[in-house]
Amino acid sequence: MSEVLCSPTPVTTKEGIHALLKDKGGEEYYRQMKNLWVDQVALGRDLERTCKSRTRTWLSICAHCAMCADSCFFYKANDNDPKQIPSYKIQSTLGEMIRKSGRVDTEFMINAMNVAWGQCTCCNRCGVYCPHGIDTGVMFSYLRGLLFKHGFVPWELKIGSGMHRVYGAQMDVTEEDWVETCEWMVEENQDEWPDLEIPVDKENADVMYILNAREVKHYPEDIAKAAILFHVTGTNWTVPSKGWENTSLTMFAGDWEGCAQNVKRVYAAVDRLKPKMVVGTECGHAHRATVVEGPYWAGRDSGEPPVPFLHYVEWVAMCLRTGKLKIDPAKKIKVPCTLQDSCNYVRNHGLGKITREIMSYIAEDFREMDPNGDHNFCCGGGGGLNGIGRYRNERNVALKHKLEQIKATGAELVISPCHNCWDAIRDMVEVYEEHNLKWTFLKPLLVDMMIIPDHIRHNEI
Amino acid sequence: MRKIVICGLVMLSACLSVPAIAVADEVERIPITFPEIKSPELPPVFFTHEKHMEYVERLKGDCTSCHVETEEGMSPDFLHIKKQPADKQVAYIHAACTDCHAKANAGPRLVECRTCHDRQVAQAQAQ
Amino acid sequence: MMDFITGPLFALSLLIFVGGLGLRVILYIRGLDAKLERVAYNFHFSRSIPGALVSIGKWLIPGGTAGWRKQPVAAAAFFLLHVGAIFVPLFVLGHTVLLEDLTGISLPSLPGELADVLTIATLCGLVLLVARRLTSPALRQLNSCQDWLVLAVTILPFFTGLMASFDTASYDTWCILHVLSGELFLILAPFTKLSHIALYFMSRAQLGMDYAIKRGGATRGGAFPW
Repeated sequence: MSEVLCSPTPVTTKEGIHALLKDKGGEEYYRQMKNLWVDQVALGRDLERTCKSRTRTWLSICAHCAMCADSCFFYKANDNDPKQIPSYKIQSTLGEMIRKSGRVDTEFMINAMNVAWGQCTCCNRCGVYCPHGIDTGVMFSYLRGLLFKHGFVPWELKIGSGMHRVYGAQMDVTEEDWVETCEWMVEENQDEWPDLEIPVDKENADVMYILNAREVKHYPEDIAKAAILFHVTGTNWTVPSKGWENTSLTMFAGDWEGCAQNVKRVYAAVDRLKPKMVVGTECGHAHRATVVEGPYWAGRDSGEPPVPFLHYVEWVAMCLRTGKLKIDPAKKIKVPCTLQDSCNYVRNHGLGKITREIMSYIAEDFREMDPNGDHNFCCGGGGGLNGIGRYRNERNVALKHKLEQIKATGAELVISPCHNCWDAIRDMVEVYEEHNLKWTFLKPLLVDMMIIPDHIRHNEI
Repeated sequence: MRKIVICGLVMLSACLSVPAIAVADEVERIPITFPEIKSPELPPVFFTHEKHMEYVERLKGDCTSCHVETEEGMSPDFLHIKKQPADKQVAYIHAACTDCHAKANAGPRLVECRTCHDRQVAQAQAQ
Repeated sequence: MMDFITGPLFALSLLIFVGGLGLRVILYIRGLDAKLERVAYNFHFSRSIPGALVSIGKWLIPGGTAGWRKQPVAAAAFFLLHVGAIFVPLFVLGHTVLLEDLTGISLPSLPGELADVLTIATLCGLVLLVARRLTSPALRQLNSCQDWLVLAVTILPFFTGLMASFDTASYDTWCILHVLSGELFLILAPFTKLSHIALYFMSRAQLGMDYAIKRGGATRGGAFPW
């Protein structure tokens, strides 16, 4: 008798996570989902309570003009398939759900899940191109919340939501793991950087740094590079032992309760350690979840976090501007390079100016994508899509659109200060065998091209 | 279904587009010359004075329904139109004529512009 | 009959139009929820008000947004329709005369030829929209009965008004049809997608405020570049 893997109850225990992980690819999970009963009354009540005039007006005044079609990379990447028009996608799912006041069946909910997670990354580009300002990406995010609440969420995100709830991070990285990894990275780099340190839980620092658990688990060099950059710029910084992780698979999953827990955990660290500002790693959705949407989940009416929260690119730009970080002109990027605009902090937080400011310091042949900045397209794998096996094919097709954009610039290198975009580019290089294309975060570039101030002890290894 | 509706609309429009044939008007008309319209958008009104005298009589009215009695006799202008500010004179005469028509339940209302500002009549009268 | 349709029926349809749209605007604003929508509507007015205005205004200018520039056919049809659709009913001579009679307000009136040109442009825009609805694979996926109803209800007053102005033998019939179709438009507006007459401003203001308050208003340096 297999245990219940698929239900409306969020995962809140290690055992729950392990049970799901054992089910390879979610095979049993999705099988159980086909029989998952829909509490139509509860769904109807949820809609009554949470779907108000903004969303209802969006759905009712849509003029069916199809101007959102070309704005959506899914539509373009799927040869202008009319079923990929944002208006069609949302009207056939959330629109239908509302028209039926929640009286929908399991098959409907599974289809809605397939559309909400397999045909939309919530990049919000459609809202920019709609004359009425209908933001279908926001509606899909709302729909994800309803679907999660009723148990219809992709397997990996059910696990991810559980990870956040249990470990306070998107992966099974405990606080011990985290602090030990910091110590390990200092040790590893001690020979090259004798005075390098990663201060944990230092109070009243200028900067509190928070990051993505996958850096701890899979890319600890990233932590080392962050430490080196703080060290070289003379930053008075710290990391919290608790509330150190700012990503939010819960946001991708539509687990709003989980989102609130994550954000409150991070803000609690701010309360304890009282830094002047918080700097987050190069991650788009972490910034969106913690800085843009986060204050609301934490109950802050003004929509502002408790202290200034900077995305990593803002901190880098500040250091370059003030000369705290200097670039060796001989080491600037010579090959043609381009810049990926992460939806979550460019279109959705206006930092496109900042990333371009950084490019002006580090690149000699910078080629813009077309379109770019606030109008750029999603990498193809955002919104959690990169990680969902069930929609891998859809994701791979979607990647084509970004790949075409990159190739059209003639760039050999893509600078991609966002974990999801970075993954998407890694995957498109592999899937489409574009082995001449390289991609990178900012940290490794900066560490390689920076001028080390004289007073910083450094030994060539 | 769509094709039938479109065809129907086209046919209806065709029937209703038949331009009016200029027929010599038998009824006696006098031109309304005050207020003077500098750049008229619509043809001038040629008023059926005789007919209106009959209508007014039938309603137990007299010349003072539309004219002001002065020492020199009946004023040629409509009621107190010359006392109105210049930019309100058209509105004055529009209102008075159509109010009376409404009360009498006969005659054009203000929405039927071209019943009074009739192009065929104006063309015929000009001849 | 004319007295009824231009009197009480007109008053009723105008009441429904203004009252209905007004009610929808009030309900819209009352239904906004800063917590659920995660937009701090009551904060940051110094950037949310300009944000709302830019969001509304840029889309009212031909080519004013990337959206219009990327879709020139849709944009052309839209502006051909809406310029005439707004200016003709407000400023055509027949209507200004009636407005002055009813309220004493005298608006400037369009010269006859201009009114004709604008009306024909409006009808061309509408025909283009019909053609687009019939031929574009994208629109064919989205078309619904209401789309056709709204197009028909909008074409009728402009078409009948134009025919009335041509002073044909059926002038009286065109007049009545024009008044009735105009009233139909007014009555249906608050209950159909025609409600965008008022709700366009609400929806665009909301999104402009959203971006100004939350999604980059503090860091972008200005309103969102639509």
